[in-house]
Amino acid sequence: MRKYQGRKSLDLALLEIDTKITVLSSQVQAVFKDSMKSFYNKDLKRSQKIIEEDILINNFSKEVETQAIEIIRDQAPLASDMRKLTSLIFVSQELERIADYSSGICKINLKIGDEPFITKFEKIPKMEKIAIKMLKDSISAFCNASDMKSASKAARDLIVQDDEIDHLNSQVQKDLIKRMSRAPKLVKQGTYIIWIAHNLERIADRSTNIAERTLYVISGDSAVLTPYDDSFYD
Amino acid sequence: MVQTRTSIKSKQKSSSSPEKGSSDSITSFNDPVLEATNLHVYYGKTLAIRNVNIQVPKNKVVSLIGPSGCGKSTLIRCFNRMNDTIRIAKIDGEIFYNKTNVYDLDPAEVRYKIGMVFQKPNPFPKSVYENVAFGPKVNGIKDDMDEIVMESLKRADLWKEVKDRLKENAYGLSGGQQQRLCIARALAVNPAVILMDEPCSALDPISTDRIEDLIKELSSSVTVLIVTHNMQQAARVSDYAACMMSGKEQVGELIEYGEVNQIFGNPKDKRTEDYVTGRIG
Repeated sequence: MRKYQGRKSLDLALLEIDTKITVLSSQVQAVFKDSMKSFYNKDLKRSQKIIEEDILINNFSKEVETQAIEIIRDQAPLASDMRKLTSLIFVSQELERIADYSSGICKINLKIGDEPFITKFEKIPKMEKIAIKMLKDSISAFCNASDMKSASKAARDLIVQDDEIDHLNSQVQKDLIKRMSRAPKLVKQGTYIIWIAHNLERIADRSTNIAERTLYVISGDSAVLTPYDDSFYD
Repeated sequence: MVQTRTSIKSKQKSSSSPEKGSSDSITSFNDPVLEATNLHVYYGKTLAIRNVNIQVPKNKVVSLIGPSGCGKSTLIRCFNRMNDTIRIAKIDGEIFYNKTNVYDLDPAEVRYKIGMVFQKPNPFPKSVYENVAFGPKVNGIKDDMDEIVMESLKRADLWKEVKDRLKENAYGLSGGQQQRLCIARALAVNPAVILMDEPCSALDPISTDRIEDLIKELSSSVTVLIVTHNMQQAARVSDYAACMMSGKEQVGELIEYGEVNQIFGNPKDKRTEDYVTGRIG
């Protein structure tokens, strides 16, 4: 029987890039939480800083992407290594887009400015909580894809959470549209808040994409966990 | 000189539709050109490969991969009875060429129908022309020899380079040209199968690329069974791949056989996964 020898330089490179994607995901989670905090507290200065610092996340994401391409070039990976590395490129892009949505929330905050909020936030904090959990769970499943059973379960559990956030988004939109149609002066801020809910829903979608990539890393099948939900337009 | 790589693969649908066995791996084809059943090969008292069952479909490229010493070369040499030339080699099991046991055929006929190309180019110390004409002459073919030589060299993608050097000694050609000359020599007797034992391992990247292109072109009319240690090459040129590994008591076994996308993308057997990802070898 042939002895398992490992592949030192590839294994080290994979470990290093795995660490980087974990750091990138922690940074993105922090930016996301911060953007919501600055929104609730009307901390415009903080929002402005988050927008300016988005470039750092973009650069780090590109760094992960470049490193993955270099590993593919130098190590000629196959099978699970290849699936992991190509997926890493997608995941770093998904994280970068999540940071963009967070930055988008900050931009909306600046647009609303000092104007008092027209609504007490009930559903949006719930959406935020779910989106944060989905992001955390999806990246944790991706980084622990070697534990196939639990990673696979975590990835599939995200489907339920995604349904929940879609439903909340739809409710926020319907409630605000109803109020705006009665009081046109609410239209401007109402539209902005609909955009906040939309961004939260998209963050959850991106996390679902990460979960789909995790299932691909595990099984080699390109799974689609959730079809595009257009029930809002019904 | 910059050469364009034209080796991007377009997979054609299998004409010899595979039938699935109990596992996800392909186990049988409707019209295999080569087949080994319950094959054991001994060198003296040493068992080299154990119980190999494999079918090679017609006009497809099948690569044989696995760590050194796992029996890949031993296996392909069984198909054209090259192991007969090793005094201590003994075969147990059956080898079929187009459903006929190769031991019911004349060994010379088997080797015409199932040609072989080796790791190092091995042209005869003769002219380019005589190298290609050798097989048909020995075989008593009375057709227009110039035509056979030209056609064989064209099929081996060598004609343009040697058409004015036919009388020169083959040793004057580059390594890559010599290897294509060996392929032309094999093609001259119109084989149905070409066995290739690491045909590119002594060649530079451009010569390798040309041989790979050639393999794909040939596969429209010839079945190719290729042993290679280059995983990317196997993935580029093959339709199917078979992975061998030394098992108990260092005896070679066939551990997985399937479509190339499965073997290099998502192998079912952990040992194949470890081998193709370079973690055992």
